[in-house]
Amino acid sequence: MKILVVDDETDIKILFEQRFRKEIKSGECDFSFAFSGEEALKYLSENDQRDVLILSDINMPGMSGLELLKNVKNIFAVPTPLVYMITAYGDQENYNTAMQLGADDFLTKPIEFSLLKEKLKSI
Amino acid sequence: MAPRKWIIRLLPCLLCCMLLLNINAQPSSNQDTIVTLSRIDFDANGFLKLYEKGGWYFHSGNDTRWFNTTIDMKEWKALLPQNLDASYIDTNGKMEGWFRFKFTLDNSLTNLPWRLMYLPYAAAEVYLNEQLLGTYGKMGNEDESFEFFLQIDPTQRINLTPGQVYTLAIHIKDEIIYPSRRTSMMIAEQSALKKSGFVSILTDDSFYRTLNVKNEYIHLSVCTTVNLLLAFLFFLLFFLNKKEHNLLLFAGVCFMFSFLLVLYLLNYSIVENSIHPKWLLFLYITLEISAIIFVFLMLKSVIKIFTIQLKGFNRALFNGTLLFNIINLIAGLFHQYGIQNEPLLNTLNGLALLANLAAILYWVFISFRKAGHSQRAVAIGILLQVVVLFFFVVVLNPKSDSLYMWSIRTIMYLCFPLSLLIYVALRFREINKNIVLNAQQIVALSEEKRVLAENQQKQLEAQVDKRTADLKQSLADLKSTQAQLIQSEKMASLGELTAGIAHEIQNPLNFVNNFSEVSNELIDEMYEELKNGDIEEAKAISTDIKTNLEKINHHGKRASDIVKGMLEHSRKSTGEKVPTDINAMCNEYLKLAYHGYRAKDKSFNADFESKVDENLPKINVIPQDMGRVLLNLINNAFYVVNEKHKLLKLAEPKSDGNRTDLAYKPKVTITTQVTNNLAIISIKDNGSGIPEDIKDKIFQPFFTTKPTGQGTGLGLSLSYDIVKAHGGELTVESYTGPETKNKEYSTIFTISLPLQP
Repeated sequence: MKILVVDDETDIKILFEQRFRKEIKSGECDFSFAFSGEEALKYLSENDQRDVLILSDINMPGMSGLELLKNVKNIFAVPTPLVYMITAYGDQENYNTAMQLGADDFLTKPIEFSLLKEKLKSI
Repeated sequence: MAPRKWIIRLLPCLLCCMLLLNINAQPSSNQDTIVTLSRIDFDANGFLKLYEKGGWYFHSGNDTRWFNTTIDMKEWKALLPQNLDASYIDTNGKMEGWFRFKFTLDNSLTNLPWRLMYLPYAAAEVYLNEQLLGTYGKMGNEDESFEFFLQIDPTQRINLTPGQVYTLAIHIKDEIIYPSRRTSMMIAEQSALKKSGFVSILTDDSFYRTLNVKNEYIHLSVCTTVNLLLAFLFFLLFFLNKKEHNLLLFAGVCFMFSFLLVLYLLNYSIVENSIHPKWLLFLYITLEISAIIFVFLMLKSVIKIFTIQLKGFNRALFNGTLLFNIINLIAGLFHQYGIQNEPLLNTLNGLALLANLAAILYWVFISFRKAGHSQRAVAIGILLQVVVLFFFVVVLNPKSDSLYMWSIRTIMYLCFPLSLLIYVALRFREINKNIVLNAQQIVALSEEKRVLAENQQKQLEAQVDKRTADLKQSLADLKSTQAQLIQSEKMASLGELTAGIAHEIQNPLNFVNNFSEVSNELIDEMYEELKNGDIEEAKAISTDIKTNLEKINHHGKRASDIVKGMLEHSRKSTGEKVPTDINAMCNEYLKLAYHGYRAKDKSFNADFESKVDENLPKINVIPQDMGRVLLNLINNAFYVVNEKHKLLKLAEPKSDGNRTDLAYKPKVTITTQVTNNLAIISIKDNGSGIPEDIKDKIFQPFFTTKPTGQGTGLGLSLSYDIVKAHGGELTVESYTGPETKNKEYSTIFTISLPLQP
């Protein structure tokens, strides 16, 4: 399973690699990282991968997670990649916007990795 | 008062009395009466008036023998020259006759040089001891026509021997007798001057002076001088004190007095020297008019001194007195010029004098009770003068020539003027007293005023103090309000930050938590691997753990830094300048501000960029203050781009989240660079720009474009002050159109700070 993580915090890469250490080892998950919305779009357009899950932060300088979501849902053909939005601000407005834009799930920071793993398993 | 005039006026009366006595004593013998002349017969003027002596005989007609020393005196009639009247005029209207007078000298007149003087109008031949002494006028004998004698012409010096009998024979002739005029003219004299002349013997100059004139000259000179000095003094006093009109009046009185005395003195010199009668007439008129002026001035003085109200009776008295004097003057003039009536003239003289005296004494009397010292001095002067006058005129012989008599006369003449002087002196004392009194009042008044002014000043000072205190209080209040405002501005900007800070802290804390959790798991795994004996795997895990711990440390520090920054911001400025990394500060606040906005406004999104010059050295600034400036400017930038974004979104019809279609990309850029020893920090936004008309106002305190309640209006103002305090400049540039593809609206705030302040 190919997963793209989008966050402006670079340390998220190490964190994910360690958190999903076993899954990566077993080849269960294949993580890619983008540190901005733009980078993510670029990555997506360069690697034409359909079965992909995008985990994106909302608050990022430049293109925000929501814009990325909108772009992904607009640009890519159906079935579009799954997009899970992650945000520190777990408020209703952000949630509604994300859902309206076609987000597949909505996670709040700090990420409950056990919960995330469950969700990934259920895909 | 006019003692001088009284004398003139009174003389005729007195002389009349004496002549009457003389006439009564006249003998009626057929022989010449021999009159013995003595030194005491000289009058004050140096005349020995023969015509006053009762030894004269008269015979009408002419006989050439009648000049002989011894003749038959049967037909002769005892007659004083003065008593020659119209009854002696013959049917042809002419008069001719002889006077005879026999005299001898006693031993008191030894060795005296003599001159004989003849004065009447009729032509005359004068013989002494059958010798013709002189012819006066022309007798009209033979081929010569008759002519009057009109001059004063003493004879040559003659020597008379005491004990010897001299016979004086005078042949008079008057051919042109106008019915009344000529006769009366000849018979009665106009003035004392002429009266003294009919036939007189006068002595030579030296004797005359030693005998008589000296005393009177001294007297007249003293009086004249004193009066002139007084006149001058009064005039000077008046000149110095123009309010005292009385002084001018007194000066006039004294001057007129001295003038009269001068005229009187002139009389003597005229007697001594020949003068034409028309000058005599002029002198007389001058004398009379001066006397009237003098009387007028004197009456006025008395009225002024005693403050007499010139109303009713007083007015009548004044006018009446003046009238008497004027009538007297006119009568005198008539008398001088022809119409002669001695008793009437004397009566008028007396009346005028009495009127003057009465008026003055009346006014003195009615005023005396209420009079002040100065007025009483004058009253006493007047009374003294009157008393002395009567004493002199009535009791003593006015002809007495002794120094004693003249001294009394001098005193008498000066009584009134001197009393005026005393009056003025006393008056000045009163004036001085009044001045002193006034001055004291003024001093008291000014003292009162001073006290009042002092009180007022004290009140004023108290008021000023109170106001100052009030103002100080107001200032203190204002300062504390300002401090509160600054604090609230700080807190407001902090509030905006809070969400950002929370986010900023949340992220590192998440990492700390996550990494520590993972590390925990990794240690478990490592333990398992070690138990299984897979050393290599355990080693790899330990490396990861190490990395994680480093990350934990890193993010812990990061959170700690943020908290520190926040505390620093909210803390009161220490005012200490410390070398500060402006670039780091810019980045930090840019992030904080961005996240703050994001936290507050979920729809907010803006690009931000930081283009810092790595060459920028650390600059000495007060970090709290400069941080506030940066935060303020960045906040503003985010605010305006967001506002513009919101505005455009509203304007767009399809606002259902189709945000990417908007051409507008909100962006805030912060740039630092080093130029010319200056650190330039620019905060650029692509908001709506600042219109020209408010550009000047944005740095003013309390100026804000934010809706009420959202901005204090102090941010830029404080920022400006802070930058200034750092020796820098805060400027603004704004582009407000036209907007093109390559150029959009923008605002740049630029802070320039000296690198080494």
